[in-house]
Amino acid sequence: MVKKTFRVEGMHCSNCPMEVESIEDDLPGIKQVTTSYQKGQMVVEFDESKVSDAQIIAAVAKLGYQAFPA
Amino acid sequence: MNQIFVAFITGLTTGGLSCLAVQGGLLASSLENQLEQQLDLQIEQDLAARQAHRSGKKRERILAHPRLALPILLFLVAKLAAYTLLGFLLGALGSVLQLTAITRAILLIAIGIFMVGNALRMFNVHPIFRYFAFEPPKFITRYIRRKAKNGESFFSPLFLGALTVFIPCGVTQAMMAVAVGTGNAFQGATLMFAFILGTSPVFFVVAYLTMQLGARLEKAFMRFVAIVLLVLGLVSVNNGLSLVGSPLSVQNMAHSLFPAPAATSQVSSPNPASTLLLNVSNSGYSPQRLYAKAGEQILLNLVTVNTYSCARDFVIPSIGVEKLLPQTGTVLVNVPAQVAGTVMRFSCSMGMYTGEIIFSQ
Repeated sequence: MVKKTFRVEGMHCSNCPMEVESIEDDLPGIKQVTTSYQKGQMVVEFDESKVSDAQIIAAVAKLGYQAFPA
Repeated sequence: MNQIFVAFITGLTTGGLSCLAVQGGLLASSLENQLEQQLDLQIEQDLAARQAHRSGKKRERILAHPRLALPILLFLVAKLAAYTLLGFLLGALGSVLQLTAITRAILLIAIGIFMVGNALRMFNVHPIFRYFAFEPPKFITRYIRRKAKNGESFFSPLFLGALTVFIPCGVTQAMMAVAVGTGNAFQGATLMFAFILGTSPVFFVVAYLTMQLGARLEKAFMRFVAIVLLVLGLVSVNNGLSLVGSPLSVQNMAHSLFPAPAATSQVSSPNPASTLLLNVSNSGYSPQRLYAKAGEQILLNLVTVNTYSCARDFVIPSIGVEKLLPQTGTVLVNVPAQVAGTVMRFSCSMGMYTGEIIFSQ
């Protein structure tokens, strides 16, 4: 398990983190996603053998937000 | 009464779209299951109809539109009920706080700053303004998200509608603060009911037609919401200032800048009197300027006739007078002697309607 921080752009309200965090259910190998609207970032705890950074970024993009490795 | 109307109009014009932006996703995911079920049914019916056609039987009418209106309606009804209850609790909280004119004024100014801050956040002026938005606790958002994904057909929209109470949009958060400001459980409940009722038609229509707003449209209406929020915020700050009788409020600045009252308004005699009559109506106070004798106690007669507006909640901040007037009747207020040149400002408890008493020899 690793913990990585991503910068997230495109969040316009305090409920957007809820949507971003839904990648928890969409991708295998993600233990937890903690997103902050105020800081404009998310901290993802995941199993690198099951899911990659690129897959996480793509899953976030599918929801209409842009994630970048912090 | 006026405040309730303003809440309804706010809901109708900005609240609906703003709420949809925040809660639309929740509604969409709760409807997803419903849609899938309907589509499966449609495919089955389609196949059955084709087989029937091949075997020479009369083709049955295929279900063309998934039934979305009912779940959206259930979602909105549950939301309305939940927010009315929330308004009741917030109003009750406000009443426990024992709001005096001063604390209410502070609250109004704070609400105003909160609204303006949120408007600036929506305009993306600076990331610091993001702190004006409250983030619901993680365990709540996680729970709501999971429920939305695993929803059953009718229970799900009802339950999720009620859960929206935990993810209010910016405009709703501002309205919740106003509900606390009413200082009365029933007024708080009515206010939130009116606001959410106002949001419902837009929510319903847009949700029904598109389910989700396109990004471009969303951006445009967010800007519109921000402008309205900015205006409402400034009005709230101004009301707070009027309530404490501050000369900085727009009305009081106007009174100072234009000492001669407008010809059309009903004006009392410029001859100072020791007994004054003030008519309190649904549209405010008349005359807006009273002339009183300096150096002696003044008897102020407040007359209401079928008055339902917040003008009934009469406040003179400088001498600590706060009276809730009857809907119809006369209430006497003793104003202690004042020196010549004193300008005593009065207003309703929300600072919306104002007026002044000028003391001279």
